[in-house]
Amino acid sequence: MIARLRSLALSPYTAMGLVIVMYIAKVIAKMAIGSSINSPTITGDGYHNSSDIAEAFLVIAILVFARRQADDKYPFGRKNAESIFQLAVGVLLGSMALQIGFRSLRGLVEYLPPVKHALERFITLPAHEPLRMGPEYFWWVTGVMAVSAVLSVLASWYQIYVGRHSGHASLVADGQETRGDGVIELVVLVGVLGEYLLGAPWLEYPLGLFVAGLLVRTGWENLSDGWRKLLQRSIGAEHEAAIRDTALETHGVLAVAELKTFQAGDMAVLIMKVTTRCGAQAALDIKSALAARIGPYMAESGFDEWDHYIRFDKPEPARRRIAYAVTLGPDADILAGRAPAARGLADATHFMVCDVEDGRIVRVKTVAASGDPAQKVRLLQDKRVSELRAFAVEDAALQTLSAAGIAYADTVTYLVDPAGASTLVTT
Amino acid sequence: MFTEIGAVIRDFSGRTGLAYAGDLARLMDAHLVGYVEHGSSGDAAAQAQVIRRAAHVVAGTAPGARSRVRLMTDAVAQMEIPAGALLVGNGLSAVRRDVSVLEPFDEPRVFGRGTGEVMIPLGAGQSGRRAFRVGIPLAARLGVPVLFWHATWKDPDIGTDFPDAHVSPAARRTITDAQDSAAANAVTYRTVVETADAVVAGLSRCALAEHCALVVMARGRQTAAGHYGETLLRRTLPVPLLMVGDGEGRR
Repeated sequence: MIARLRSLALSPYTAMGLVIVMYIAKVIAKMAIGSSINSPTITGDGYHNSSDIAEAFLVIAILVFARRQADDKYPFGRKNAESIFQLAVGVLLGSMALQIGFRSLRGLVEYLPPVKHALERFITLPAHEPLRMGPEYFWWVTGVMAVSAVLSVLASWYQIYVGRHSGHASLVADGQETRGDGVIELVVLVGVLGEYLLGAPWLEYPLGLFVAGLLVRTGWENLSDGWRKLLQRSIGAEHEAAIRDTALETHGVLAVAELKTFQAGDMAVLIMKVTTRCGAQAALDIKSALAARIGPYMAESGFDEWDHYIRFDKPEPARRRIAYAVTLGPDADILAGRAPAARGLADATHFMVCDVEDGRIVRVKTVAASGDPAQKVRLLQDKRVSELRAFAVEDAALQTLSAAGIAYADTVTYLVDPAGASTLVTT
Repeated sequence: MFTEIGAVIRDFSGRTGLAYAGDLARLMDAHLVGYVEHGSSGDAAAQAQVIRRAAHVVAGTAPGARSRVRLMTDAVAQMEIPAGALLVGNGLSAVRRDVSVLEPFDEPRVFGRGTGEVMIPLGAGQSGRRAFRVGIPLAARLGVPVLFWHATWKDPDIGTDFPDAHVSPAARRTITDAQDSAAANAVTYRTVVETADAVVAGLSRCALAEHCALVVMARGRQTAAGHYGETLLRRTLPVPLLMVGDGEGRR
């Protein structure tokens, strides 16, 4: 029962439903009280709240749309619809900031005659409209604005909390706009109190400028966040570096060939290509491990919801050919795979030509090596060999090899076994 | 504990295994022995040349390890390996069942990916006991904790999904004995029990996800085919795997 109630309380639809109820109550109260006491301040605010009701229904529509499951048409879902709403809220908050900021500046100028006269030399200032209210309205206006402001702040806190908890940026953005409304109502209240209690109605103007600054900041946050998500900007270089480090610390990962991140709504998406020498089954294990290891980092970094697309690739084969100069007796089995390394090119009876891929010998073919050293080097060139190995090689042969562009290295062992057959064969 | 860590020096391949062996020898303060074939039929000069070259390879691949080179008189499958030695190299566990073999896959260093636990899978049989008798002292020597891992099939008569409730009495005795042994050796441990019918996949994923540095297993004498360790190696488990020799880890 408690769990069900908690779930209901944290539902975004519940939050928006309560917000709509709040706005309806505000509209009714402000219109009724405002018209009965002829207060344009209260009536005007009531009209403003009626547009908030329409906005609340729009948020619900966005939520319904954004919560639809991903499908073939929208493989990452429709969460980016919330980012569009975030952009709109950012613009709206900016517009509110401009309005209140401008009104506050105009109001302040009214109380600074030298500044007013200096400005009037260059521009025609708009008419200043002070708060039209008589002492008979004081308690009504104060009461309605105070209750309305408190309700707005409480509702905004609830919206933002539920929005963050459920991962809905549109709910958070609308909560921030509701908070902006509440703060503006508080500013008006300060103006009223300032006039009535202190004879200083100008108090609301510097406070209005401060509120305008807050609205600009919140509006900018929504604008930039919505913009980043819509344009699929990466989640950040520091996050990508941490993800890359985690991947490279995982056994089997040779390199991270590709790493891309972006957000679809509040969900982070990771696309990664990993280089590995492991087989297909082990690659699935590595993929599972990467998800298990990166997941906690994403949660700690504020990405409660994330998805990953990890694919694998083998390392570049870097194919080349090397050859072993060996000496085999007339009765030797050339398919045995192992033979004594030649002590000079003149002594070599055969070459074991080895195809190398990714640093490993994958094919060994033994070919007869006849003729003088120069002819043998030509044979190596024909076979596209880039490196020759032998137990030893003559100085003259070294020069011939170098001229042919073939590198040379001494073998470590006397008995060469390119395919590693000696693990199984008895001497 | 292993006093000698051996690696086969081949001309072209095996450098990763040699590097891993050298790093392990350094960490355990053991000797690194490079085994190299000579096949020169008593040619002393050639033998000396091979030893010099092999020593050069060892010094370059495993710096800092106390090392020596030993000429192989037989193939790896038959050559004499002293008691208490550990062989390092991919593909060697299938060739030498009598000796403990560590297959490092692609890892040139023990903690090259960061410090990690020694994972010891445990079952109901003797293979798990032989594994922890070798794995726990090894972990103590390396200064890392141990992760005991067990996979159990679900008992349909048990109502809960909690994996620990499905562990068989025999396996539980093995786990308890392993935990007691770790405590006695002052080795920190933790135990993970999973319900998984795909044991090999579960083991591999746990080793990778938990960032274990090494897995220690032993063959069961009653397993005729499909031993989990061998299956893991065929599956190219990228975490280094130490297969305890058939003669090791017995009381």
